[in-house]
Amino acid sequence: MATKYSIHPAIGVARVGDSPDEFYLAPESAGGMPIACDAAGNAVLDGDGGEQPTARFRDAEGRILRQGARFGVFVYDEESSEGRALKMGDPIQAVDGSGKLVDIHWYAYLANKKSSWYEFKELSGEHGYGPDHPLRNAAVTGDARSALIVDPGPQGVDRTTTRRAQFGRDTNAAYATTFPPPLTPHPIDTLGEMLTDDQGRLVLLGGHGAAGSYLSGLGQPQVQSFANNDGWFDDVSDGPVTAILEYHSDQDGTSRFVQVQDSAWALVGNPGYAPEIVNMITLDDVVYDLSVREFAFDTYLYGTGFDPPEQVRASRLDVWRDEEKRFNPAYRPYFYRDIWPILLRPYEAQWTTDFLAISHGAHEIGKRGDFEEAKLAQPPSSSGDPYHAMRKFVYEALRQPGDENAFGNDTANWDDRMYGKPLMPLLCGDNPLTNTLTSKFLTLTPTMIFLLAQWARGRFINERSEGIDSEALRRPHGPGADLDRGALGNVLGGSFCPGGEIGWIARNPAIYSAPYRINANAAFLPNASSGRLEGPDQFFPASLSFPGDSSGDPGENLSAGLEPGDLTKRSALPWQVDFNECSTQPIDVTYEAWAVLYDTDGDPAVSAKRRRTNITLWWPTHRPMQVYRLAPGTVPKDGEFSQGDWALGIPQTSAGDLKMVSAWSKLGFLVSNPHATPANGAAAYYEVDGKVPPADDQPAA
Amino acid sequence: MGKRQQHHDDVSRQERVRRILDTAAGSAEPGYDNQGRFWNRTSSELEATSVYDVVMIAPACTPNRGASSGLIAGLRGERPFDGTQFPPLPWGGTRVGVQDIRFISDWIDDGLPETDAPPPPPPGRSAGSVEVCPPADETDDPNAHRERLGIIKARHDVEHLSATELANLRAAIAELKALNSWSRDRRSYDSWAQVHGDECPHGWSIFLPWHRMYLWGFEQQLQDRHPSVTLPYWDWTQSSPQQIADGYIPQAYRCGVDGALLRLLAGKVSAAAIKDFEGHEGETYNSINRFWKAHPAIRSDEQQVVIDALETVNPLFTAQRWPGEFGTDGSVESIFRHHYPTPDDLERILALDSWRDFGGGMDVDQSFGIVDMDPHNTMHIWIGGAPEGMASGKPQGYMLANLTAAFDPIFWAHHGNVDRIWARWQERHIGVDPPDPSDILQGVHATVQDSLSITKLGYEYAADTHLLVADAGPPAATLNTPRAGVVPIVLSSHRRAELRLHRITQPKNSLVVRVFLNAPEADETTPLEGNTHYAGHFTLFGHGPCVGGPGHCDPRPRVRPFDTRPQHHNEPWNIRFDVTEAVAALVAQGATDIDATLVVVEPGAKAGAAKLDLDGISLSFHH
Repeated sequence: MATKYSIHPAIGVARVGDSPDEFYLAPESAGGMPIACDAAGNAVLDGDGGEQPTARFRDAEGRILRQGARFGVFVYDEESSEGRALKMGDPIQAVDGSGKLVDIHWYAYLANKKSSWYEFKELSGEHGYGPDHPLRNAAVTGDARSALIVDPGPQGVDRTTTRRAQFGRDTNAAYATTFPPPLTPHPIDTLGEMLTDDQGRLVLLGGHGAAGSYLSGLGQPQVQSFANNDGWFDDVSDGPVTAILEYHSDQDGTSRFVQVQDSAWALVGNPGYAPEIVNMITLDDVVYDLSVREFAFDTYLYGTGFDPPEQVRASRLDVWRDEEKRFNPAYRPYFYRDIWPILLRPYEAQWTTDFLAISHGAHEIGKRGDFEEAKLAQPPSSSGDPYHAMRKFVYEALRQPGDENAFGNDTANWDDRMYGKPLMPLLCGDNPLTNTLTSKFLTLTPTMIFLLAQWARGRFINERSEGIDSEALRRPHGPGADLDRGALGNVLGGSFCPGGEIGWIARNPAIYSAPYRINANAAFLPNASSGRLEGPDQFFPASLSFPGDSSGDPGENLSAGLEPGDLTKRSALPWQVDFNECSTQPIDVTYEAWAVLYDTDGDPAVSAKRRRTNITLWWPTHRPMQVYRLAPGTVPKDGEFSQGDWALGIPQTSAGDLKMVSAWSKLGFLVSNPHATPANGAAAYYEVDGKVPPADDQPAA
Repeated sequence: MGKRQQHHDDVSRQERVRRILDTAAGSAEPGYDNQGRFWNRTSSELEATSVYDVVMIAPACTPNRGASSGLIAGLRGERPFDGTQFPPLPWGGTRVGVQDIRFISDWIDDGLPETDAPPPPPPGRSAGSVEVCPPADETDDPNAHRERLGIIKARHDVEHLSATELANLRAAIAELKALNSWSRDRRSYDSWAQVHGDECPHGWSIFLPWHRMYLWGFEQQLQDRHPSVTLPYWDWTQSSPQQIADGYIPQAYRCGVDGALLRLLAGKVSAAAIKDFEGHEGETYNSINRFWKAHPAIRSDEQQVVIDALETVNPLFTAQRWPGEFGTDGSVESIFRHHYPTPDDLERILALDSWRDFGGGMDVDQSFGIVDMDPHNTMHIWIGGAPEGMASGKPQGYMLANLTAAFDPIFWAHHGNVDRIWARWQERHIGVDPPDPSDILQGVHATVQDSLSITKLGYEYAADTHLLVADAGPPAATLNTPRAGVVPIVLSSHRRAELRLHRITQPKNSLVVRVFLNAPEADETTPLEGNTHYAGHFTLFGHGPCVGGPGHCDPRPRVRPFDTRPQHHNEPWNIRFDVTEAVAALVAQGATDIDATLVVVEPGAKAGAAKLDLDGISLSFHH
């Protein structure tokens, strides 16, 4: 095979923080703790060389640490077709020569296009914006709208000479940056920075959580809606990342350059307040499902035929997409790899919301619980299948794709214990707000549902009772893909109204060039195609596009690749407002198709007495509702926990939203309690004041 | 160390298989679908074991039974144990070494014996209750694929037979020889050999037609038993001077020392003789005299027992064959060696224009045809030999005389080459046939007319045929074949190379198919100009929408013996695609093997949308 260089993770996730300098590194697996690092981005190692989890979430002044997204280069060649991390001094094999790696030149370009984009109107726009779709800041017209983009221009760093660079208002001498005018309450002067660690990996940091409006006068700044607020800017962002490898040629001793084949993407989001608790649907679930069903990512799991599974070349993907495909009925998921992580999520959500107190102990994994681990983990044998009914009960509770507006399980038998019970997950969908493209409740992805269906019918393997360790079950895509999946495993994957870090654009196959890989428009970063190195100061990027300019273009052409800022521009503006409001939602379930009823047709069902409404959570793990706190003076080992509101009493109103624009940095972080078991009932996750409890509180060895 | 070795020898193969797997499993106790260490079951229980629906032992008679078994795929980490569904076996333990896997696979191939008693006779040799397995894997036996498709089979160069082809040929000949005990059974080998002695015409125009039909009849007799067997040919013009000096006989026809011989001779010859064979396993000899010379410890009174065993082990060998051996003075041998046919001789013969000169004159104008006279007669004499000189009363090889020639099984390969020379001459001299097509061919129940087309007789000649794809599976837009495994001498010395596409379903829309060699990544964007991997294209005319009722456009199955109607309008197509020049260009660049990639392009359609549906792809080389 030809040698190929690629950046992993394919999408790296940074998070904002108001600490000016301090940060930790992004977790590399779903539910992993962030990684502690020094000021240069080097991970803190333990005695065995393992990377240490962060011990704190705040700096000495109590400000939230930023989360850096770390990117590395992997090599795929004859030696390791699954890929391995590239290190300084490693041999380099390029098309026109070979040599020794002496430096890595990293380039990235962050931007925030939110203010220049269309208004968020639930699902309108997912399949293209109509010509009458309103713009944000519509009062700013024509080419002047370019001033609505926060555009610091491209930047570059390397391991030898330029270790650090800023995406600031005044930090790019080679580029005419665009930053918003003075904002209230929080001005924006930077979208972040990039630096290299001692191994030449890139650490990319986002903004500081600043958001404000340039409008002044009586009543300003003002919040009018959960997603669209004219005059406002925030400092989350996203954009492409690429790397050019510099090597000393074996042929003539000169420096030569080769660019990675697959670029990457940086995504900056809100702080992860409960890093160890995994969302009911993660962005990895969404992208994995999309990769399986649209990118032939695992043709033994989903494809046209399975004996043998077909090999689909990238150039044939469009034909494969048109073919009749299905999930492989012979596929067997592994319980602890594929099933249990999904079942644990509703159980663990109880530490971020008090809803389980209302629902009589559903989701329990301990003895006699609906999710009792030992029973759900046992596949059938020749002597029988004693827990088939338990699995069937869990599976039949699931809301199937297409049932987004169904509240209860009317499909079960009337004497079935599921009959009329709410379908799961009982979380808000992509649009419980309006009667246009209504989608009230969340559904798991088709791939998750298929895996659970196989499990329910007994076609699964318990890898622990088969003596198979998780390493042996790694998917055949290698350690680089583990980073791709791990990074997105900590990002919210639904519902998208508009969502957390990013929204429904994530499930559009058009934005990807390959599984997990954003199709980057190459005109925004330097490249090595000339064989020479053209740094940011010799490189002139294309102009960022936006709707409403004098060309009359819709402002986007996905097939040309994504520009900086194109992922986050669809999200709420500013993010803090939607984050505050995405707590609970009263969803009208009187009629399936209708989210909003108007009492003008005389329908008696619409009268307050007969209307049925369900107060439904949005995403309690991404944005905790009620949390456990330790009684003062006690330690988790034998502590007393009490449950209370997480969000500092901020109300679900426009005034509350405005408060959240500043108060987000005061919200608490949740960590795991190693002493909790399903049996002792102790809080498994509890809020800490910025610091992870010291090691001496860990259980005795 | 010595003790441990002893220990191994003490245990049965089954026990050793169990120990290999137990050792690799270590302390892990996986459930294996609630069955535990299933390899410790009895053989019949093991044969019935599935782990998560994967059959651990392939059914009896499966070609390459061991390699086709789930257990072996699991140990080797092959699909589905390559991570697509399962990790390799044993789970939680250590991987089993290549040698040990082979040991287990061989044990499965041999039927999972629980004791190490002598194995039953190989399938096909035994009658009655013993299960006879269907033909082996088609990729090792391309004629089995052709038999299944009902198309002409190839007679191959005997130097390039696959192990399966050679084993089937030997088995078929042995079965006819086994009928020799019934002297009035006309199917027996000896009855067939006697026909030649009684009837064969030499020195006149029907020499070639008669032998063609004689070989064909014999081949039919073999195919009654093993449908994929064809007669091989021996192209003696390829023999090197050193081979000629050594009295060279192709490997398939030689005698030699192997395990089967030692088992047959155990207890029947002296210990000194057995000891003499030690260290010589695998060695083969051009004649019995050369065998005696290499094994001087065999006493003269033991020789007949040894000869019987050698002829049993290799039914293509006869002791009555002394190639290039003509007594002690060397004069006869040197004369024949001088006249041994060369490639130049062959070219000269193929250039002849008249049937009389080439194949012989008719009965009123008798004239010895050159093929008959020179390579044919010369090689008969050279192969047969006369170790004590040509004087009468001395031993002579079967091949040295008409009356006995066909009793030496090499007769069929020798005459196969003579017949091949005629077939090649026919290609160059269309319509130049023996003078009287109605001439009766006595003893073979045919006329000259019957012999004129080998295609109608159901065969062709090929140096070697590689079945690359036996069944291409579902229709595909790009078809990649595996490497053919062409032997170097064939790759460097063939006259013509053809890619055969068998039974292409007629496409609805017109298509162009681009053929690439050694370019598995090729697709519709691959450049054609200046690309040595591009072998050319062929175009298929689409049949368009079906205008008839249900079934109108479904080709008829060929099942009824009296159905001689012309072929159906949608009869699948067969394509012979000449890749001679493309192969030569790749060989010039250093290619050592060939694979093919077919890229289907439909004008006006999306890349990859058009698909080709066919029943096989083969690559054949012709001398």
